Amino acid sequence: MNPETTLFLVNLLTAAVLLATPLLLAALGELVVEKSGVLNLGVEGMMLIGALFGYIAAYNFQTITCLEELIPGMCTKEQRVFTFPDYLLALVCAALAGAVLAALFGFLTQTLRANHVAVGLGLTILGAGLTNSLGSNFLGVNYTSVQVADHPEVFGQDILVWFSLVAVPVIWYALQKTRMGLVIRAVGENHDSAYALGYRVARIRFWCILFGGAMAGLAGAFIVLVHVDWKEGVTVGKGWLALALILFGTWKPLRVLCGAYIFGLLWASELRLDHLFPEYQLEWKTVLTTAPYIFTILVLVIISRNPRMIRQNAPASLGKPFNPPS
Amino acid sequence: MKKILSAFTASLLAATLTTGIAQADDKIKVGFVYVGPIGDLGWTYRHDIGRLAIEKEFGDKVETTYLENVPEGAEAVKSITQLAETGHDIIFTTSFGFMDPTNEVAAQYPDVKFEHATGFKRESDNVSTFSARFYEGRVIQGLIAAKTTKTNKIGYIASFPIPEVVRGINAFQTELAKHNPDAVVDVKWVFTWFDPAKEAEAAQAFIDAGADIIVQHTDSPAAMAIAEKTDGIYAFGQASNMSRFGENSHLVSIVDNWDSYYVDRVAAVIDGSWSQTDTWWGLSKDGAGNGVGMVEMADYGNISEELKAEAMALEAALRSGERHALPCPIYKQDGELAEDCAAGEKHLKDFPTLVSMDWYVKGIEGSLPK
Repeated sequence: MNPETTLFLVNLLTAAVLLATPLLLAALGELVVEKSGVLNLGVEGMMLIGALFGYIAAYNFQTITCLEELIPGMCTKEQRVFTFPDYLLALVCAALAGAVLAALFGFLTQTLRANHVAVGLGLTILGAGLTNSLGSNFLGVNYTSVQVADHPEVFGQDILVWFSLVAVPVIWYALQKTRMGLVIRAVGENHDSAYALGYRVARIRFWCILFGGAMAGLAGAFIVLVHVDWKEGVTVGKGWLALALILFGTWKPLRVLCGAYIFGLLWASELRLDHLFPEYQLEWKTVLTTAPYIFTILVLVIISRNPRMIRQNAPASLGKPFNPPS
Repeated sequence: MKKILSAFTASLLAATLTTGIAQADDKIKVGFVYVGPIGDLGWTYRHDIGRLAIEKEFGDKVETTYLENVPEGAEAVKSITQLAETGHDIIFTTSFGFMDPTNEVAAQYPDVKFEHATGFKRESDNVSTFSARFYEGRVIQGLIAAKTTKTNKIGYIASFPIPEVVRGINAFQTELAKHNPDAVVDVKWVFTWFDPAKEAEAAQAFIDAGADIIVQHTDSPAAMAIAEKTDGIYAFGQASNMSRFGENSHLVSIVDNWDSYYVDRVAAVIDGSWSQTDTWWGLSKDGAGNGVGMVEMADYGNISEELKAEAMALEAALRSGERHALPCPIYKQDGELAEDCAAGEKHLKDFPTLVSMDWYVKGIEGSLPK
């Protein structure tokens, strides 16, 4: 392979990682949620909340030193340092913010037993509205117009990239090989039986929902701290893509990982291979942007023709309301 | 108890959804439909500055409402109807994609005045259109790019293949070729107005391919932030002043200034003189140097004093009408002379050439998506 092609492929992969990582993080969290039998459509909202609060935390944790002062209090040249521990703290804040919004979902769906779909959609709208108003004025700072300095990478990639990759086998192991995973799956398969066995269905699901929220929060933080700055609605539908990704990966962490990178590569190709068919630029781009959804539909068609696959992977009680016999 | 509690929470959620439009009879109600969020710090942000200018000018006499993030196309009908239904006297719809929805709603509400930005359809008497000659700013950017680029590769992030965007590309290329015939413009269509990640990715793709100047016709400063991260890469801002996102990379921004037009139109509604118009202002109102137009150049930076003086002289010439943005001869991509120039005009005509421009000038590679 000539060096030019190699460089092109490296750049393509670098771009793919930028999209794949937030998708993978959000999808892995939601995968655990769905395995426990809960359908949370509020991923987009939780990502936005995580993104905003991760950004707010990062902005306030960075150290700003003034290099040139025109008059006292007015800095003309400043140096910003955002260290690795600061970055980790900001990520914790993002995860917490996502989890807090998820807790609202958990309270409404598990404690008050409201409809999962309706509350999930409401969560997305709430997340978008809340971040729009808080983002432009949170304790007097307009976060759409401030910047956060770059932070150190680990082995040439952001720590969240490694974290998302490590999370894949960990979540697989936890779900398939541990007692905790068995309980989560049991609750997701048949909540009545699990309840009859003495498991506290609502509580187990609540913890899974919190985990999903934290992961979505991290996904949002990745977008605003690694890729672009905070803007209102910065996730632009990635939460929905993460939901499609779980179906694409048929509730299996490794397939979700493959799916995330396939989606990422498609997204990167859209802008880097756009001169491939100059006569059909619009059609070609349309194919690439819709491909994730078309693939997901294809996968759904294939698995729905194979009852064994559905029975194995899809949680049987997904999205069904649980009313314990009283 | 649980039922009461869930009803309470549900109503709390519902309350966050409504924008809370209050009624007041004697005031003139002005409505705005935005395609993006106010916080995009670009296109929608500048329209909102225009809305605030109305409030400042008329104070208690007006009441303004806005709806943000309204999707283009059929869905916009709902939002525009919502404003028309709630007693708004004049409604500004501020994106090209609101053209058909605006005309559809306008036909049903003959007493409400509609102002559609960047479109050309005025199907009923209560619809006016307005647009800015942003391409005048592109001429200045073409000059600066020609004399700043070292790799002779320029990346142009384009949103949708509509006349407004195509005019900008052509004006940029024409001026660029005049000062630096070796420079090549690469146009990437992203098919979105606002998607920071995608805008950033397009900028990164250009930089990876060796471009050192990024031009954008999208709404967020994401591309500028990417340029700032790499040494020796420069970028132009769009819609609002983006200099603070590119301390070492910002060359100049084309800033939209809707303030004086918005104030004029609302004043016309108040005194009853509003009538259908098609307004097209550039750097000045009349193209001959009078009044504050809709296009402003903000904060020339990161260029030599000499080039800055040259750019400002060009700006002055464009403002006074001494210089046209697209003077003849203009050749199309295939080398054919543009019809207007063949007919002996001094420059391309507004009608029908510029308003419906759907062809590239010579020197741009690739084909224009239709």
